[in-house]
Amino acid sequence: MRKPIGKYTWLILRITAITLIFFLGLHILVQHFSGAVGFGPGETRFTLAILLVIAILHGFTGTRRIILDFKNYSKSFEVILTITLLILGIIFAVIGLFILPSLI
Amino acid sequence: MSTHIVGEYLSSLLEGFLNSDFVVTLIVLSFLFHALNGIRILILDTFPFGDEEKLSITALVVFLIISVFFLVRL
Repeated sequence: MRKPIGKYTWLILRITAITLIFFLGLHILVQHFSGAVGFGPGETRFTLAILLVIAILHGFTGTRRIILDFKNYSKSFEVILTITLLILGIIFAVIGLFILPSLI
Repeated sequence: MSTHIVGEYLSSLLEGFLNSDFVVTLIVLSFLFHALNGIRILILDTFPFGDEEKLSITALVVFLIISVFFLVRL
């Protein structure tokens, strides 16, 4: 039997998923299908930055889960994978946050 | 100089590609499919006694309806 992948990542995935379903859905509707230019109603650079960070968190937590789901990896591999994905996520978030002001 | 021109050309090509209707629709439909599948899993996790087959078909039908709506609006 496979060991459980982690209750905290499970919780992070669920919470970010529910947040993204609502806010990213709203963002896509407003930005791409309402013909609005610039920020949608209630959107600021801050909320978009939060949305970006939540999306990256969800994406990398999901990637970690998919990789660990393949087979029973060693504990050290799990730690290395988590740290690698964490660093990659931080780099992506920093790049995104730097680019964000120039997009709108 | 020529590297600069090539870089500018490639970035404009990429920008045009990412902003095209096709790519935006692809991203939206991928998001929708992923979200509906996630909702399906959340429901099955919360109510394990539910009918998995019915729920899957419902999610698929909802996906198809919204996809058609988006494609018609495009």
